[in-house]
Formats: sequence, C-alpha cells, structure tokens
Amino acid sequence: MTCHKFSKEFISKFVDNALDTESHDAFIRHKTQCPDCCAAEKRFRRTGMIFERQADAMAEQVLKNTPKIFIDTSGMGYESFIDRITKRKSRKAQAILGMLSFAVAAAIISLAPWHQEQLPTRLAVPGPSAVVNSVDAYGSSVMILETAKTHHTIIWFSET
Amino acid sequence: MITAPSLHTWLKGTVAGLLLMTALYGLVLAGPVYQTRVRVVSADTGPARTDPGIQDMIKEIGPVFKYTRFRLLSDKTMLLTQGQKKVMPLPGARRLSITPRGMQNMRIQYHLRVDTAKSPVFETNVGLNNNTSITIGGPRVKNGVMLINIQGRTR
Repeated sequence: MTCHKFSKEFISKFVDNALDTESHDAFIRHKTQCPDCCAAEKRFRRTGMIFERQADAMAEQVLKNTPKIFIDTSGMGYESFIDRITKRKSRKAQAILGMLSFAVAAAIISLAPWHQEQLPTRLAVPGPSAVVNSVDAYGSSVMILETAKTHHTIIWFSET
Repeated sequence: MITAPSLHTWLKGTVAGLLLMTALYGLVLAGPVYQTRVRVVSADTGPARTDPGIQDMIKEIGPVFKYTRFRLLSDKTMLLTQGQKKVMPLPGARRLSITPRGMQNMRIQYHLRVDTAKSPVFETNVGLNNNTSITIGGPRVKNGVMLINIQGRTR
C-alpha cells in the first residue's frame, strides 16, 4: 500500500461502517481517485467475508455437536387427563381409563331396565289421594272424607 | 395418539364393570325405596295463622275444618323399604307406626297405627297415590286437635 493518506485502521473502520459521516464521505471521495486505497478496501471486505464464512461454519459445527433440547410447553397450560395418559403411555393410567369406561358402560346398561321397570309406578292414578282399605279405631267413631278440589283423603277419628 | 389398552387392561375393566353391575342389581333386588314425609300439625280456633312448611297442606284441607290456627309440631322425611317399620313419637304420649307394604294398583300401600302407652288407638291400611298425601286427624292436643299428614313417594 503506497497511499498514506488513510491508515489501515481507518479503512477497516470504513468497511465496518464505524466512521462518522464526514470521514466516511471523505474516504469515498478519495477512493474514487486512489486505486491503492480502493484495492485496500476490497481486500478488507474480502477478509471480512472470509471471517464471516469461517464463523458460520464454526457455529454450524457447534450446533451439530450440541444435544437437541426440546421444551415441552404443553405441560404449562391446560392438559386433559386423557392427554396425559396417552402421552405418557402409563399402563396403570390406561388400566384406570379402561376400567372407568367399562364401569360407565355397565352402569348405563344396568340402569336402563331398572328405569323401564320403575316408570309405571311414578305415574299417579286418578281418584282420591288415598284409598282406605281397612280401618280399626278400637271403638272410636271414624269418618273418611275427600276434599272436593284436590281429592285429598282425610281420616277423622274421635278418641274416647 | 391414543394407544389401545392391552388385553390385561380390558380384563380388569370387565371385572370392574361386572362388579358394578352386580352391586346395582343388588340394589334393584332390594326393592324400591319409599320416601315418606310425616308432618304433625296442631289445629285450633286461635288467631288465624298457618306456620310455614304446611301452607300446601292447609290449602288442601283447611276449608274442611272449623279451625283457624295451624301450627307445625314436627316434620320428618324418611326413606323406607318395603316392610320397614318406623315408629315416631306424637304429642300426648302417643306413637305413630308407619310401614310401607309395597305397591298395589299403582298405589303405595301403607300400614298406619297410632298407639298410646297403654293400648292401640287407631289402625288403618291405605293405598296412597304416588307423590300425594293422606291426613289423619282427631286426637286431642291442648285446646285443639292433631293432624297427621303422611306423604309418600317412590321412583
């Protein structure tokens, strides 16, 4: 390098865009007339590119040799019981799930005929609220009444 | 991905299901349960008043009687199975025995009996319509009479 107007450090800073605007513009004006400084700038840029490529290659190598780390974010939020069972593949949990499913099915099957059998008894039959089949008042007088509106049955007895 | 449970798992589930079914059928075989509510009311000719908790009952039977004041003395609800006898005390050293005897002609059959300490006073067999009530009245209490309202319900 024969031109001594700008030092190597100055040109290096120019390549790195580390100069102030005035110095930066001054070097641009100068290099258009100085092939020596222009060549020096190109040399610095090439060197920088070589360094960058080397750094990229080294980073890639480091990443290849680093064990992969996965962060499971599903556990941080809502996760259903079934999800947990199926993900972890726990035999015990799957057994519980299997038993629960069978128990629910069995309960439904068991209750269905019972409800059908009991259904008629739920219905009220027309007539008085109660039919008196037999009365024994042990000597007392007894009167059986039925209200007109609601057909409510009343048994009235007078104690002696 | 959901994996199919193993044969062992299904076997366990089947056993649990069968046990549950057996338990449920046991309940069914035990027979229906009769929910029985007994309200004991004192009725007299005092200042007009009806206690809370017997408004529905007095609305039904009130117009039949000359009484104006109705006071709730006791209110008890119990679950009884067929043939299960329940004895509860009544005012004036009396006792009420109540026994559901199953269903007949779509009515709950009850055996009701009132006793004093010495002797029986009153006994009846009634067929009560599901979810309705019967009132037994007449025994004297203080200045009025006692009304026993019995409500029956089954599933």
